[in-house]
Amino acid sequence: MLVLVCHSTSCFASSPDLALADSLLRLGYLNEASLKYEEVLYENPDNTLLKCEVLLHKTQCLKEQGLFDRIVPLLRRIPIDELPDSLKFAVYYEKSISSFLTEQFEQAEQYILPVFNLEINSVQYHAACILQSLVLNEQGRWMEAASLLNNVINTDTMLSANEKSDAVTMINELYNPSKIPVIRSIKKARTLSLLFPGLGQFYNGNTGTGLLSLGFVSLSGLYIAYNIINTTYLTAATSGVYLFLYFYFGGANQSSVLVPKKNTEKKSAYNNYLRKGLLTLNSNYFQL
Amino acid sequence: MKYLLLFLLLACCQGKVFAQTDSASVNGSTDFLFFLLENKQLDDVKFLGDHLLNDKMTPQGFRDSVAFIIGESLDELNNDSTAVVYYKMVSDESPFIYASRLKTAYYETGIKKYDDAFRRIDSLFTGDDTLLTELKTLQLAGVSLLKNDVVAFDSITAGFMPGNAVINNELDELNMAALQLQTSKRKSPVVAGLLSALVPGLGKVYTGKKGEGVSAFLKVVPLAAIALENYSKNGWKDPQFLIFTSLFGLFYTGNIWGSTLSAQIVYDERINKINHNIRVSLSMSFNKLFR
Repeated sequence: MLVLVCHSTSCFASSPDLALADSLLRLGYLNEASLKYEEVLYENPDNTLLKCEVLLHKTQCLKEQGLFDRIVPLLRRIPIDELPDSLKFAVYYEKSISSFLTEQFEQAEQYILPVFNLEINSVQYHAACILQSLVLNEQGRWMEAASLLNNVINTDTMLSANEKSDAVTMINELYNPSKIPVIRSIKKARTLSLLFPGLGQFYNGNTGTGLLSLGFVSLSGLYIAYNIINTTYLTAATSGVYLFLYFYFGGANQSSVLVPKKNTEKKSAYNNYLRKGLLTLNSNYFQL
Repeated sequence: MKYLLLFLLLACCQGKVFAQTDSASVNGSTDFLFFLLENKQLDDVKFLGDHLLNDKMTPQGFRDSVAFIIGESLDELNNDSTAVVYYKMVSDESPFIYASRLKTAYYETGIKKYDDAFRRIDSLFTGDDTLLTELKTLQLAGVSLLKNDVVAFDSITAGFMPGNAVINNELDELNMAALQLQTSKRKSPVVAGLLSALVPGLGKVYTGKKGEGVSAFLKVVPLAAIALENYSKNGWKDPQFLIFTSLFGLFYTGNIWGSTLSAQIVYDERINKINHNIRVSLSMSFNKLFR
């Protein structure tokens, strides 16, 4: 959907070789099409508009092959400052969506933000807002995404009052604070585990791991006590203390692994839910 | 009928893309391949290049250029082993032969085929070209060092005074590496093992791994002390005595064995570091000059 938006905005001058390259692309001859696009560029080195068009078309070859990481370097060949706003939008948008697909969300945001300073039409504006909200979601900035989407709906002159009201309700439902995952702090989990073994794991929701950590630390303590009772003080002071410290600090250090893992799982599940919701929102109100 | 038409359309498209492979057409031009290489369209270079190489009509001179450019693109992708296959396709008559052969030899030094690399460089004809002759001498000297043959290095570089600043600079680096090779001596594995048998960890300290030596000492000695304490308090049937004695035995013998290996490991690490620096000098010299 988002990919189509970008290309539907392109309205450039064409060349017969470009048409041939496009045909090859449509027929699935991706390597041949890719080469034909380069041939057009080689034969027209000074035509910036054509260069932009060709490279934007070539991104399709890369997308078909799943080579999203190569799209941004490819589009860097376009002298973006020399382009009109509609084409700047297309280039920024492609760069942003490719960065999004390769999970480089900060880069995706960097590419989509300049779009809002361009003179773009409402379709382009909606597409950019949806993409930015997806990027914000992935960065865990859900309230900013909700605010952006609400703003888009409220400023849309094409929607009736009822439609706006329904769309806002839908957005508020999607971003309902009770649904937003609680992101746990690594530092807090670690501190809790240092205060009482296993507590950090319980705080993060890893009950089994917490009980295991508490069990190992307790057993180490019992082992020290057993050796003290048996007057094998050296054994208690060396192997006993070693085991105790190993499990005690090991449990605390587990936070740096368990907390991010759990946070990622929660974020991922919520963002999947949001993506589906945004697709419905788009089909109902924007129809991009 | 529909499929026949589709087939004809595809055939036409294919034919148009690779219309002609003579040097007059875009696809058959070295400039176009270099254009792709400069723009880092390495997959396109490989795809077009392979097509041109498979075409029997491609003239030999152009074939050499294509093979070299594909090699360069694969080199850029760090696919050295495949790049070499293409570099080897470049014929002796091509102007790309020097770069191709030196890059192949460089690859061979990476897989320790030093003799092959030496022969490959030695067979290069440099004629009256001073720069190429100096480069060849430097490369031969470097490969000799990689073979740990300091005598050959000395004989190749005797009286060698390069006029080129890059080569002169890399020669200084090679001279330094030669000095390091001469002063690098392997510590005795037997002495290392015996020292670790006397004092756990001392053998590793002797081979140069001080941290590992101290760590081994701090593991083995407490295990012995714990085993001894449990034996003196509870006798030899005590489970803790049996467990810690076993652990002590394991760590003690493991440390002796580790110390003997450490002598060779430390030596290999030092030689690998020197060899790495030599290879950097070799690649720097031809990369700077051919750029």
